[in-house]
Amino acid sequence: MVGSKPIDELSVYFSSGTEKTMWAELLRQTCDKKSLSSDLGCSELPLLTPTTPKRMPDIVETRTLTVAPHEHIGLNRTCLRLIDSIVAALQNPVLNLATFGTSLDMVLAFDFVVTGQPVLIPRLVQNTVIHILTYGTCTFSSFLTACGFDSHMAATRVRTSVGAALATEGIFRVAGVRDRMVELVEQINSTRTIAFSRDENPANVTGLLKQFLRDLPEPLISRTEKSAFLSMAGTIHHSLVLFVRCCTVRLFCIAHRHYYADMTWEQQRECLREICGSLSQINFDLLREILRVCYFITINESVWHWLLGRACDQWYRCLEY
Amino acid sequence: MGANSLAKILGPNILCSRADRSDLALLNAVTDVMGNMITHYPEVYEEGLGELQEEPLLPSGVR
Repeated sequence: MVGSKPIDELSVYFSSGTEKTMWAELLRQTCDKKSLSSDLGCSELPLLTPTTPKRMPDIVETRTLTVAPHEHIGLNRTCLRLIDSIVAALQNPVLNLATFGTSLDMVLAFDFVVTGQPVLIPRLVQNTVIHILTYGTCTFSSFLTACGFDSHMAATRVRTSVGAALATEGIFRVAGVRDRMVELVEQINSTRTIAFSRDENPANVTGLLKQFLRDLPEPLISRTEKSAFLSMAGTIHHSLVLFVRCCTVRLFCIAHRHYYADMTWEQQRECLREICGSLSQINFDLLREILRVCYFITINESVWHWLLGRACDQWYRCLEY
Repeated sequence: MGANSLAKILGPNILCSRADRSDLALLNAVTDVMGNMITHYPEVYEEGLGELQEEPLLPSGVR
């Protein structure tokens, strides 16, 4: 399969129906549906919803996808970037295996090639998030179970939960074991197998996530969007005037800080949404996933303290008997 | 971990390039923005999650 990209038209040559379906699904997810037309044998791509059979008759001849110029340049740009990366990944399957230190486009492209499905959040991030939420924090279900203190099983669960909570408090602050992290990075880069055992230290896993973000050639929020984000500093809810001394953002912040500070929270929220909307789709999705995990960890903070206090109380009563 | 702690750790990885990570003033701004983004995550990024958030974490009758 090869791809070419004229200015207003994207041509993709499919060798099989399955491949065509994968591309169409990827395009459907990354492009505005109204801006996309095709001659794939169906009138519009939105027809490729889960209600429609995924498998289509195999085709060998060349088909063309036409991506119309659209006002939402970011969406189409994301789509085109992804497709470029996928084509490059398919053409250089050996040279671009590394997950760490590779651009987000390429990581997603290789995940697409490995899994055969469109991936908008890197598999590494998906797996680390699952590991963190499963073994790294006190999950809500285990918390609920821990609330029934009348049985030995529940008491055991409390001890387990408290143990996990104590072991992983400051889960992102605690550094992982260096040798183990190097081993994991080499394993992921060389085999692209991303699987963490249940016994894996959560600090190692969070360390991998931090390293992945740190090693991205371009930060998740790039230079162009950074100034807009930083202009919100010190204005949300508490309306402080912050003087940012960074030369690159200084003028922008001076121009905008009073503007944001005078806004109500609803207006500030809309501005923040608007700024986030200026990110490309893949960057936005990854940012939102990371913030979601952080938010979950934050709301569990009080649960940890409650569990610890409650367990100590229960154990003290047991000692009394 | 609280939002500020997470913002201090993850913020520079998300918002700063390698060259920017030694600029303390910039890091303060980054921490501030990231902290707010984490704290107000449901309102900004997940419309509708606000109702779920209002459910009490502790069941009734539990101290």
